[in-house]
Amino acid sequence: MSIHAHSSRPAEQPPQPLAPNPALLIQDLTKVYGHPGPGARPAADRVNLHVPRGSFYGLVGRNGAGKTTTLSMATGLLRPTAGKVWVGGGSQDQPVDVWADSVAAKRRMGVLPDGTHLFDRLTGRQLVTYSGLLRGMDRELVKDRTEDLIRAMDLQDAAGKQVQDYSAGMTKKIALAAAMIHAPALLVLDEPFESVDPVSAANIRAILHQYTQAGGTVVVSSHVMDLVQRMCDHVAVMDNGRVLAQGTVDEVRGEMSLEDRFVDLVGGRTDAGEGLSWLRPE
Amino acid sequence: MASTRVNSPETTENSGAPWADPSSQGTVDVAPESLRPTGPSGPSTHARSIGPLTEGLRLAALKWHLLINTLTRSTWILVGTILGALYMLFIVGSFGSGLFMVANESPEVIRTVAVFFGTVLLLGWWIIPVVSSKADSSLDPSRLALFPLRISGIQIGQILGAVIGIPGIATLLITAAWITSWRASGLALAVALPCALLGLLLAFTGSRAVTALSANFNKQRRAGEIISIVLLGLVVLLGPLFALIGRGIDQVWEQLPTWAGYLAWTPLGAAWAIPADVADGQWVTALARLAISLATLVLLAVVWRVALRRALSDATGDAARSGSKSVSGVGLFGRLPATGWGAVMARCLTYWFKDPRYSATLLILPAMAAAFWFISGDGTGPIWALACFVALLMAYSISADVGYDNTAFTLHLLAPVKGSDDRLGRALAMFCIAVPFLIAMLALTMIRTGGWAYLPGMIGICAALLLAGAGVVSVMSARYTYPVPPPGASPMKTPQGYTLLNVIIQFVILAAVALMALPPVILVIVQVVSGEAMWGWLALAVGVVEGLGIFWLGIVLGGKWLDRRGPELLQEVAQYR
Repeated sequence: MSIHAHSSRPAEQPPQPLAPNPALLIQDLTKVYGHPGPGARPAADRVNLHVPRGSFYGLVGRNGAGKTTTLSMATGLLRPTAGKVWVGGGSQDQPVDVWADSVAAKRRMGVLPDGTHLFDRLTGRQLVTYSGLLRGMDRELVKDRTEDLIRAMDLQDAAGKQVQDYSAGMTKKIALAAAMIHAPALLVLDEPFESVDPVSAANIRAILHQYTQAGGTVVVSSHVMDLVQRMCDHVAVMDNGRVLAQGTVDEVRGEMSLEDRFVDLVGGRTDAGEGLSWLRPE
Repeated sequence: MASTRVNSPETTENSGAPWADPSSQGTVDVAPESLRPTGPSGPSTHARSIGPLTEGLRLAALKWHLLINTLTRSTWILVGTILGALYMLFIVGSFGSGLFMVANESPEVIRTVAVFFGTVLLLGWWIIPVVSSKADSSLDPSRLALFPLRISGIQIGQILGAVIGIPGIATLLITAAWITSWRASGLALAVALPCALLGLLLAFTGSRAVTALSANFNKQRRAGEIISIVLLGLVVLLGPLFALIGRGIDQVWEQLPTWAGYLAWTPLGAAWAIPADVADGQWVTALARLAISLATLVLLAVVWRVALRRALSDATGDAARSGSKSVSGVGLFGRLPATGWGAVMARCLTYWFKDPRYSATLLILPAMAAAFWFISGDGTGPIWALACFVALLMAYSISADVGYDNTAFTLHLLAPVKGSDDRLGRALAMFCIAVPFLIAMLALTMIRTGGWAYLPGMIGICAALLLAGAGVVSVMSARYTYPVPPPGASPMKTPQGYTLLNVIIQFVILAAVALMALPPVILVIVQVVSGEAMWGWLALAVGVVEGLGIFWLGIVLGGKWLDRRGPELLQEVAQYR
């Protein structure tokens, strides 16, 4: 695959994003599975998100809140029922529409999907190399970056083994490496810290912080509020396919902790253990 | 786990549990003492202890729910299943009426037919699950391992479950027809019913025993791969049998009663011959055959039990974590061109050797060659088709590619790989495997037949099948896929939701590929008729040109289609489990 200069065409830019140069702009993104009709409950319902360039953006919500659906649509993996997504590139680039010019948009993104298979009969090193070569990168560049990433992820010992023999955490790390090899302007990571050990998680956080300081933008989805509060500067809360609140972490949480604010917004805490009085050893 | 029901006062407090014994409900103490442990914690359970028969019934009910849920998941699966059921009814109807009519024939004919019917039925139940990748994966013991079930309960459940589903119902119906074939003698008819039950038990027990055994082998990854493949190879290597059939149907026909006599003394045929012995008054023979059948049943049940026990106690053992050895370089990725199609080609080629779902093909092909060699018998006819067949199958094989990727295909979408690069890489990797095989097969054909004059024409036909076939498949598989085992699964696993519609899709793809051979085939026929070598060379030229043309077209069109509906394709293959 050769690298085409897919410069976006400013002439065709639809309604201009409100803030200057967002890294990711989502407008009225909706997904209804099956036949759209009165009874159908949308998995994502008119989602609007504004991710500023250089931010570390957390997307939080319960299981089934629509995080993965939204991120899949934003990254070109799932065709939306309605709505638009734009991805900004470097500081000079105009945002491009993900579903109108997907090649240019995808070149700017690095994506870690959650719960998908990898080509796991390849070794870790082969998988990262494959990810680079698929993007039309130069062989030497791929080779150097692959080794750098493997070292950064602390996978030197496992790099020559097939990915199917990796533990869950190692698999996450190698997938993350594969998502970063083309030095994208935007990283979209769905549940990046799930089953990753604390040391590796700290490492990855450091890498990501460095990346945002260099001008990159990170979007992570998570349901670990504590982590999001410590790590992210912006946050959006989703529930039932809708965005309930978004902004900087301090704006969203106010005086409370993010977790309490989240429970407050989502409104779902039952008095734990109430109907389970029988749950005890005899 | 066989604890007797505890009905002591302590247990009456657990009325909140829906499975609590209704008889012990009554006093609802929300008193504080209900919140602190009173008795010794241990195996005494609140859940009612149930017998193995109840366990079995519940498992069968589970199978029923699984079936219904699979059917109602999508309209197309439902439609496909109904079509499949109609087809099954047609088959059962024709064979069943045949069996019904046999009753009017001589006792010897009845006996022969009965024994052969039973043998084929048992063989079908025992072998098809392992070799056809259609093993019943519901009620998989490793999924039941967390539940306190008795092994006999699971066994009863799996036997009852075998009846639920199209093959089970078909077997019941046709066995009923088999019983009616004994109506000439009242005594035989009376004995036929228990014999049929015994036969069915043998079928279901054997089927599950074989499946459980192969599942155990599948645990050790390498061993599993090898055994699945060897089994496949064995079936194809039944070549000599085909050779025998090739000798002529008349001879075989005369031999059938004798063979039935032999078969009736094997575990496969014994149970089915008993009614005939009873009708003849040969009680000792009948008892001997009964003993053979019962001994087989016991043996199968014991093997099954052992295999189940091992499967249950080692349920998480996808083991072999240290399986693969470490490789330092990037393998083929360093050698093939650093382009999109080069990378896809390197990845696919790696998979052809590393993934049993692909590499099974590599072992089936030689087995197929052996089978064709034997079928050809003294003549030379069928071996001419060998190379064509291999070309056809290899071209067809890439139709499963994206399905095999499953959600790993996400990476191609994210990169994004150009559709034509994706198509080209997959096809080129397949060529790398197919061409050496084709050369070997053509050489084999030439050695066997000495028909060198037809070599150019044969090459033309193979080129058309392989190249044009790959083109056709590249287009069709961008739109139409069918369920295949997911990554990491044994090539033997049945994917969920596989129906007659998928068979039709596969058949249409195969037919479209076969059609590509038409132009060179016609030219070769002209050569055969006219005896002029020129036509053979023309077939070569036409085959290669046509092949290359359609291949190019297929890559371009298939690529465009893939570019347009990549996300939809991903959603489709993501459902294959």
